[in-house]
Amino acid sequence: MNPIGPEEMEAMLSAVGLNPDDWESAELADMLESQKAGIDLLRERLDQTDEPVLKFDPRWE
Amino acid sequence: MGINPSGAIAAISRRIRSGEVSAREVADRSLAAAEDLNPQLQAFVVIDHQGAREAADQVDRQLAGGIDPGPLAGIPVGVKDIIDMAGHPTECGSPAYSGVQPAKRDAPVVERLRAAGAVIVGKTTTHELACGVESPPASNPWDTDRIPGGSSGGSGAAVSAGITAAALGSDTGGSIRIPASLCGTAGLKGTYGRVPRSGVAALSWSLDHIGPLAATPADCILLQSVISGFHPSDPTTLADYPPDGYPVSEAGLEDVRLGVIERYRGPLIQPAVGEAFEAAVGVLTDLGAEVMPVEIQELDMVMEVEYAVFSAEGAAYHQRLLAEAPHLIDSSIRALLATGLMMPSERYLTALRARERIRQGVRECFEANRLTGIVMPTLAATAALKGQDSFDYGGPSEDVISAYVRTTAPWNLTGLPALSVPCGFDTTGLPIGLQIIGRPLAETEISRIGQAYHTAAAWDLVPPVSAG
Repeated sequence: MNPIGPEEMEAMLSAVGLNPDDWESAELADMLESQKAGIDLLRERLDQTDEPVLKFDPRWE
Repeated sequence: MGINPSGAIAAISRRIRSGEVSAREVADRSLAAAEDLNPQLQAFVVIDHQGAREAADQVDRQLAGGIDPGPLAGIPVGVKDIIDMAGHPTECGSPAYSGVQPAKRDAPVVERLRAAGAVIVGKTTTHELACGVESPPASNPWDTDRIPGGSSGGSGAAVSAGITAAALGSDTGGSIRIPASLCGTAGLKGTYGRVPRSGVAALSWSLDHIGPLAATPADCILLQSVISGFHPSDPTTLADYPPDGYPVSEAGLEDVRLGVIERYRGPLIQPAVGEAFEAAVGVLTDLGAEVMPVEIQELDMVMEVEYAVFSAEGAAYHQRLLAEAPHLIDSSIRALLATGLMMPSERYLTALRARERIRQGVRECFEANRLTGIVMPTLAATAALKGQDSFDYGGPSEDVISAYVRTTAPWNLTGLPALSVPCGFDTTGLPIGLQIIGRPLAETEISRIGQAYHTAAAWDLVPPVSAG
């Protein structure tokens, strides 16, 4: 696993409209690594038949 | 809709309707208790003397004129400060919303409370942005050095201390049931879509639920029946569902089959909680319920899914705040929401796929075992000290948030109704909660089970700090 470096984190923050000066990049990097690890675990449990529930009702009433 | 005669609200209601006491007198006592206890409990951020008295006077006028003010006539209620009340700012426990303009109109749930005759005493303390389990500066009436839980901590403290008969909370990962369990009250999170969320600050659109905390399950289902139902301002509210309300029948539980999810029996649980839970299962069995062990492997995925969904949805809701004034948000909440904002869409969708797997796993468990409900400890631990980071279970340990959310979040992810009812105390006198989960739209059924337990167990639930 390649940890997210300060420059990469700065680019990620800017990309979502956040000012890098407002944020503690090391803390966020750790949390994003944890987020990635968690989702990786979920992905291992799923297969192509698992669909998200995305309900959209086109009726007006 | 019936009002269970053993509910605490029914007792107040009888006295008001008989003329033994006026709604104004009840309101004045509640207001006095709020003023008297708030220095210790910090349960309220606003105590609305004028609004409460006007509402109470209207109830008295209606009763004098032979008009039924509604099922909550003169009942003192608190409203969590993420829910709009006309004329009051909705500050969400956050400096980011401090001093905002007062809400122009009531949220639909508040409109419905007023239309049912409720007297709203004030707005209750919430954990910042409804994102946490401590609700500072609120304190627990059972021990003011301890947290009341959260994020609806002020609501839990107000009801536990007897300041109000009920209060509204919100629940994204357990925020009604956590304070209910820690403060020794009942708390009901209904089926997703049962109660309109419009006029309420969101944390996570697909996980947020609005619901009541009250002294008894019967009171909870009464409140729930008042605030639930389709509303055009919230497209997720369900239009077609069976009527709810508490059945007056005092029948036993011979028709009830309950599953106990084995993983929640240990080892990550305080011994006193485990003992209280097993004793509660014994009471349910004595009442006629059939109880069987079950397991749902998909629950392994709960915490990863819960965090992914609420951080992504919360980030979308608070995006402007994160970009323009992040310093106004608590650092831990801010960081969590930022990771949601930076989450790739594939991860969010993977979490939604896993969420559906969890939902299917729970459904299969209910259907394969023909269950009426699932019972489990509401939380693995009792109320933490303020500032406490973790619980030690005599070997394994766990951070406080996980200890509280791990057992409650599954029912946000699945949208199933879940009730917490007090089921005893630990060795230091702190309350413990029993959680009862039902099939979709089975609020009435789990409230019947909870009320049967509550009546049979007959716990003394008056805390050291109370209105007396």
